[in-house]
Amino acid sequence: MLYLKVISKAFQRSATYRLEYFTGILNAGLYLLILTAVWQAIPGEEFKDTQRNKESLILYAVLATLIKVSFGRQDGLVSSKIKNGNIVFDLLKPIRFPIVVLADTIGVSLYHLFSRSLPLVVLAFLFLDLKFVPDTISFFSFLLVYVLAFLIFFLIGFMISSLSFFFTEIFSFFLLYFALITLFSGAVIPLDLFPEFLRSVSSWLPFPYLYYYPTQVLTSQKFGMSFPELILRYFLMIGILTSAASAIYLSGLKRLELAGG
Amino acid sequence: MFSSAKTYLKLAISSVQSHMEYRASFWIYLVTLLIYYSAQAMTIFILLSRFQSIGGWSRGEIAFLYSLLIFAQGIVASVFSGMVEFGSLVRDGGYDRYLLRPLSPIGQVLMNHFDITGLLHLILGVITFLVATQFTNIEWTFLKICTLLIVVIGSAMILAGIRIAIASIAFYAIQNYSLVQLFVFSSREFMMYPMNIYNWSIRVLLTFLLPLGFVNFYPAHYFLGKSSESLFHPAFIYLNFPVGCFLFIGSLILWKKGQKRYESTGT
Repeated sequence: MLYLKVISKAFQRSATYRLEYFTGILNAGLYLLILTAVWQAIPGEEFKDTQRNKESLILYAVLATLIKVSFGRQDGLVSSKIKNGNIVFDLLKPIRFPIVVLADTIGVSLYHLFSRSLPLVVLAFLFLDLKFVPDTISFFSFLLVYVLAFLIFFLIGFMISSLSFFFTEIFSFFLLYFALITLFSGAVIPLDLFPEFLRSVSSWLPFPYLYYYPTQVLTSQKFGMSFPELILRYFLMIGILTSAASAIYLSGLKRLELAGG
Repeated sequence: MFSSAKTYLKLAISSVQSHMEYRASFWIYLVTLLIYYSAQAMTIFILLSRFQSIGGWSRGEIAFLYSLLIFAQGIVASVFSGMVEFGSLVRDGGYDRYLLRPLSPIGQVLMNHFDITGLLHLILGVITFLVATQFTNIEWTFLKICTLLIVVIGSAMILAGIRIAIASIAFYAIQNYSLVQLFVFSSREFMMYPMNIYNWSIRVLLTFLLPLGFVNFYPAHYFLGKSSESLFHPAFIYLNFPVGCFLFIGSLILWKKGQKRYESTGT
């Protein structure tokens, strides 16, 4: 019940930054504009040895961007608390701090989902003349995968933020995360267009699970394995990330206690 | 004047030294930057390995176009990174400290944020450029090399001018980071691909309002010998440097105007 309050508070807090809202929409819009222009500019015959055409790539770009936009980044929340010492107050409360951060991230992401993704989907269908309607099974499969993707998103962010216990500046790690996500998540180019080697590498990283697989599921496209296998992989990835994030966070706490003594 | 240059140099050196204090963070950042640029270039590489051309531009030509952007960006990143953080400087009241000193405030902002890792941007920019030129058939005559130097400086001035102009908004609006994100970082994505793939309204925007087209798209026509018939005007391939001067000087004027109305936040 208390965690629902945190979600609600985070939702409201996000709504107060109007300039952030408009530039967020504009950013995503620009991004979509670039991607659709690139796909449109490639001669049609060059798609013949892929399983794609212009329409499917544009649809992919739209959906992947919508998913990306809906995840609310929380880069500064945890790390600033650790740096200025305020985390002590959170640790004194009778609630689990990581769950509070998760609830906060959910709140921010729900706000992004309603205030950014929804307007963008309307704009995209109006201006890009999309004719996509997901079938029922794919849509509900997508919802499951989307939630799992969000958990992976949160875990990676929390893990990096927890590095604040060890380093004075963690901007580098977020930049690294951003770079890897740009390349391997399929946010820009779907993984099936990757050279074989890079496709193999990326399937073992957490990043494709953020945008590529959810988009493939939603559009009923192939993604190289059966759906049950995909779900199994999601849970495996979540398990690994939970272990890693917990290890960093808990050892960070130990270090914190020593410093505070 | 010479003594001022000496002081600026000292500010830059002390800035570098303060960054070097955190050795682990320093090296992590270097590695991260390397991976960041590699990932960006890799994205272009993947696209080009799959498709022969985009908007009538061949693989080599697009690689060259991209490398011009990265080259100019490297220069700007190594010197003007202080502009990105300027909004928080105003908000925190730190700018007051600069105003008390007998030196140009804008000079202090730049030098106090001078970072040795910024030079890595420049090095990577040069490397990207040298690699990309291998994929083109450009014959590097003396004239073309001289033109290249002028173009890169012109491009750097355009990018720097935009950064200064956006930073100046911090004098008027308390929070300018969203605009920094939008105009300094996001809009740059437009220039990773040939501009003719965009519709007319975007091309107008990127030529006359936010003239990023002069950073790499228009100059590339000169070096690659591409037809300029489809451009707004054929002379645009030569306007890189004048536009750079105009934008850079204009942004400095904007800065001075903003500074006149500056009020401390009282923190």
